Amino acid sequence: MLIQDESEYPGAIAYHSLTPEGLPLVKVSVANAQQSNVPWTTAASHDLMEMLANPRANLAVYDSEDGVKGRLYVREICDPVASIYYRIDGTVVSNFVYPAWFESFRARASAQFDHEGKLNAPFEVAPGSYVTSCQVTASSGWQQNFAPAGTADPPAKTTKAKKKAKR
Amino acid sequence: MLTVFLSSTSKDLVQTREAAFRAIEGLHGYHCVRMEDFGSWDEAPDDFCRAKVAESDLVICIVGPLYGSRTPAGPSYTEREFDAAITNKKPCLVFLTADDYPLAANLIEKDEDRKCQTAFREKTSNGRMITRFSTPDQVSVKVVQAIRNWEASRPSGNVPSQATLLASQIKSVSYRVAVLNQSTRVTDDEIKIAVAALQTQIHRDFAPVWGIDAELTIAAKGA
Repeated sequence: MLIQDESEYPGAIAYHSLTPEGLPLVKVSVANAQQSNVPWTTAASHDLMEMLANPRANLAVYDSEDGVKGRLYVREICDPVASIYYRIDGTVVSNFVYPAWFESFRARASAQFDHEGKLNAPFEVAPGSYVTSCQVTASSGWQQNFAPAGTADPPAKTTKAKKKAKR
Repeated sequence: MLTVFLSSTSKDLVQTREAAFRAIEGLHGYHCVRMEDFGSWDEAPDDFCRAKVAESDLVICIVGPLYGSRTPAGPSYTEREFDAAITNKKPCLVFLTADDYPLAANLIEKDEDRKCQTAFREKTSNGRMITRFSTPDQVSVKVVQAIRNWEASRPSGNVPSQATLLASQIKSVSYRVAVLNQSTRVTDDEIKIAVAALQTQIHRDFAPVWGIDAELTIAAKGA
């Protein structure tokens, strides 16, 4: 995990990817975090946990709707709660979802879906957070879906995702 | 990653607790859970500590000269933790301070607490081999020895029970993560504080849920 001033991607606060040798890597830009008024420790926490849960940034979870249609969700465990933080000994760290969040068979409020207990159902996105998914029978490719701040799921705004989401 | 709960009083065993903590954390595949790292929670300390005991694989119980702070239920936190270990059938390794263990005069407890502590020391010794120590250095060695002996004596090595197999997925995967500070905006001291918090988050919050753990190490500049 590399803590640096600037990022090679303009505006990117942190991301995780692979080195040319295939080793998982997190890069955190302190300057971009400060410009966005985001504690750099939150970004480090976010991408560190995502790197551990998806070391090669190539895992996705399939949610079948009816056996024919379905959606793939990138296994990024902090994105759906990216707007929610908590503190450990004064240091601000990122919330993260639990495995139950990826399990569509679970009923609403039947399990803990994230560490801070803010989400109530699988694939729910916290206000101000986002998820990257792909409708497998559509040709739209991977999309980043945002839940606007102050509103509940489902997310409304959609943008094209980059190869790897950069916060 | 096996979780070891470190149970003891605090005031009379500060250095001993630190020595035991370092000894456990130094063992590959072990993580020490201790009250110093708990932080703030919206939960009664007694309930929280006993829940942590129930989640642990092993309990290290260090019993010193003091009975310590009492829970609202009456017994001390340490005694409640020991009782929780027994109730939850957790293996419990007990270390007692020797008679020559030093105690500052201002820490001496009232008679009632001293009686309770005598009874508690006897209770922890009943039906189990206990180890006595006189200094924090001795505790480091004795804790490591005891954990290794416990490890070797576990039934069928590390083969999980049928119940564990049915209820669990992969027990744990552990990575090593190097943290390099190349920023001019964050000092090395700030990095140390941040990495300590991230380590707590990974060990305490993330690993038990995802079965993935990591050891964070700050790499020297230029590495």
